Amino acid sequence: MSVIWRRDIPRVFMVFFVLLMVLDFNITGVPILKDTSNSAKGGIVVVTAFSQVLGAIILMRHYFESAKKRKPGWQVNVYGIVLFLFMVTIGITYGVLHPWYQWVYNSMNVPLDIAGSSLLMVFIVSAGYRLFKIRNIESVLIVVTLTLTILSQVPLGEHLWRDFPLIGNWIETVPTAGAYRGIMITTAFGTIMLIIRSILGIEEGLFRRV
Amino acid sequence: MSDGLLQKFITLERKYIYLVVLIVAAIPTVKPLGIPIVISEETRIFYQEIEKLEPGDVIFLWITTDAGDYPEIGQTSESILQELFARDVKVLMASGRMATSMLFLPNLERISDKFGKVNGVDWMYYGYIPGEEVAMASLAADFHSIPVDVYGTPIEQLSILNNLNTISDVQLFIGALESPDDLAAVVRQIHVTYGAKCLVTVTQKCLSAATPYLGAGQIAGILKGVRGGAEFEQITHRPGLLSQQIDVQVLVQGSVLILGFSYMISDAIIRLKQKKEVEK
Repeated sequence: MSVIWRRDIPRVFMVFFVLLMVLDFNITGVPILKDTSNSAKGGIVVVTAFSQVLGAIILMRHYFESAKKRKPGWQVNVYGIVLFLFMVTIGITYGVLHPWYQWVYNSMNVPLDIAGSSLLMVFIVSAGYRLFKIRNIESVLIVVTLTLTILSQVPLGEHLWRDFPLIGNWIETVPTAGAYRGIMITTAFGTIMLIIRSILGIEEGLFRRV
Repeated sequence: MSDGLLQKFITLERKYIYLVVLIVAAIPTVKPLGIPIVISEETRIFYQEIEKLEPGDVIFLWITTDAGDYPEIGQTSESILQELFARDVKVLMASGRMATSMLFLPNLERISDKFGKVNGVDWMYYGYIPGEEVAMASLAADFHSIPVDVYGTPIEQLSILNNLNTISDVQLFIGALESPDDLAAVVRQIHVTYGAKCLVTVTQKCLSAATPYLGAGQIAGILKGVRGGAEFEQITHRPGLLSQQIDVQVLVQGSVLILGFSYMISDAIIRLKQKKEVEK
């Protein structure tokens, strides 16, 4: 019975939705197909919202257990629980546009998020500094490409020589785009094959927990 | 230059590099340099598509960004929004990330007040819709699938949505996109499914992913990262924070080149000297 619940029923749902979306895309002039497809898409939006709630509950359970067992860093988990309960209470009671909610979000989440992204800058500069090491042909190509790309993107390069942007544009549109197209096409084919194999029951990776 | 100094340079600790970057980034932040930028062809094409819009036309603006990338594409979205409002174009908006909703809404209200626009008549904002690509597909198929806007107002009460049902009813789709997955979703769900004209503003990390779509004509125009946003500010004669960010970008990238070439030359000199000593 558990096999039916864990593997077969999810597979039936998957086949239904895949066929629904494919048929909706390819067949026009069938109102019931369009309406069913639109309803399915709207329903998935609701399911996604619930999955976020589920994720938050699982995270809180982890925090509670960690705090109860006094694992290393449990104080941070307690802080996380308090903040979570505060935000949920304010959000549900007064809405996310309430000044308290906005203040906590803008004063804590936003600066931390921006700081995390900004730290990437220093790591990239540090890595870039050590990248300029000529050992072989590949490293020469890397250095030359890196230099030309940087000079093509900053105004400094344009003022040094007006054709730097053209070179950068060529690097972007010919070798880079070509490589990316190959990756995108193979990824798309791989995804299609995975879905077909999952539908036919050949691939069970998605339902591996049986 | 002595060998000791060169050796110290190539084994320079990271904290000193970080310090250099910090100083270099801080200078234009405190005192903007106003480095002039040349408007690129891509920005001109993007702007020409906006220029084709007539007063009363409706466009859809989809923004997905976290707080970390908001200074890049969020600011660009605000710049685009100002231009659209200046042209009396009506705008429908939605976000694919929660952070966007929190950060964008106060700025949207500020810009709306600046141009004397009215919510529900000249613009409406759905807020954050969970589901990313599915949310985009759902909204594109039926604008009435989300029953309320970000303020909780039923959308039947918003006159802007009169006679608008799907993405085919709007003149243009503009995406402010953070990741290559978002870009692929726009192409799949908007351009390929409905044939809608798409313009995008993307982060620097999406440029490689965007170029194939641009070459194939699936994206009609693109603004590339901070540089594209700054160029758009210049071309619309509303310089703002992105133009200031260009100064930081120039100095930091310049410092990467200077440090990198210095490292390369130092390393080469040391290895040549070591080779000569071995030959002796």
